[in-house]
Amino acid sequence: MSDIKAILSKVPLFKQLPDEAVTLLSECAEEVSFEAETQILTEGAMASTFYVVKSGEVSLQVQQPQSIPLVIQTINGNSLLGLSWISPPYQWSFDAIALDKVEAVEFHAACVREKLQAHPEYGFLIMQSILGVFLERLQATRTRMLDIYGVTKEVIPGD
Amino acid sequence: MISANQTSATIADSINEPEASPFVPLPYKIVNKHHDTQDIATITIEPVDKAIPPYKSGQFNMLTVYRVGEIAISISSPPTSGKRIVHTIRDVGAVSHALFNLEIGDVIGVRGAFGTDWQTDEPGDADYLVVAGGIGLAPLRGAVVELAEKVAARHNVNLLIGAREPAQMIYETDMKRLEQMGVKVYKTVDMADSGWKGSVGLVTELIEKAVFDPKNTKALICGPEVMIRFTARKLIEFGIAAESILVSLERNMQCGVGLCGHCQLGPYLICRDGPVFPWAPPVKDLLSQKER
Repeated sequence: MSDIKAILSKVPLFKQLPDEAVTLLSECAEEVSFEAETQILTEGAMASTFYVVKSGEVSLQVQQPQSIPLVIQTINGNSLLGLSWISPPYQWSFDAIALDKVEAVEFHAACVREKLQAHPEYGFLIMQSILGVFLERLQATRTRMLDIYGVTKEVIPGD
Repeated sequence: MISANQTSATIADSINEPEASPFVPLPYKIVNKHHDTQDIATITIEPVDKAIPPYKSGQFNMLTVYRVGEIAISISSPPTSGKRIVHTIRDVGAVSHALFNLEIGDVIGVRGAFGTDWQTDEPGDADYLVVAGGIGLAPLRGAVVELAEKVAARHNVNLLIGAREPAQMIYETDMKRLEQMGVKVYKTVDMADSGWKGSVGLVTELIEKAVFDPKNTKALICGPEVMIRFTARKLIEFGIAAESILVSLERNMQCGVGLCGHCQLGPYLICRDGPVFPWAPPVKDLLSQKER
């Protein structure tokens, strides 16, 4: 088993996948690292890669010309960084900045898309795993929109 | 019963000190106060004369502001802090507003301690995940201090804190002390500001960072009930057994002793059967149903 395949096999996101599906992914992947403050993704740029963060933390953010960037979310160990490579126009919606030293597996998006199309039986399973990340982030975003930590009314005796 | 070897003085004391009634507030003086945030303050109180019985982490007291009213507030100090008790108050209504505005030297009434606890007096040999959302950290503070003292030298004790924004983080000075005692503290906010260098996202996203053996981990959760549900589900996904998860709930506690029925949740009275419950049916299911 290649080093990269061994790494991917341990990532929770891919743990349920059959060995063949992990092999397909590993053929499009390599290990990379980023120093703190490196810009990994840039809003508007082509989404030609995506990552599984092994260690370190990445800030997903939106720039504001006259103010500080707005941080949408931070992504840490064993999480997927980059989703816009899946469907056209394949452009990043946000910036991604390494908050500290980041060790990651980088995937070449075009290579992965080709493999998924060529092997739909594994492509479906891989996309199902990635859809889980979409769902989790959608649910987390919705929960944050609820402002659950907001002020609640004091209960008054007799109410 | 008066024994034969009691002196006349102790006999007199025992006559004058009937067992504290759970219905009669005992006067306590505020001896320390600080503002955690714009609308959250922490007070330390000590008895003017008689003290309430010993308490456990996770229990609550009924606090009276004379001429205003009474509300249930969690105890935030560990049982080892003697007769001094810490309470953290968020200014959200008439009584909490009055409490929030009291000063050192003011006297309040205290009934308690009531309810079930986090079972941290006998923590056992296990890793711990303590997950707090917003002011939900207040009922957990005593338990975390106990775990720091009793468990952190032998096992992983993780404290995961979620808040709306950095300015809403409470007990900042405590966190440094807890880290020195071996507790691993992880924080996240829903909305970051320019000074925030930490995580941004739901508190459940911190679980991945924590170090624990899922097969031998106990979890304590307190916060908004939506957050409790999501966190409990996520912990189970990580392999923690549902029976190892305790949650703390809050309802309209008024009498504190299970008589008035205002804090009913299904078959339970939260003041008597809770506020700390195992994450099991029917509590687990009741939290996702509309109350009738």
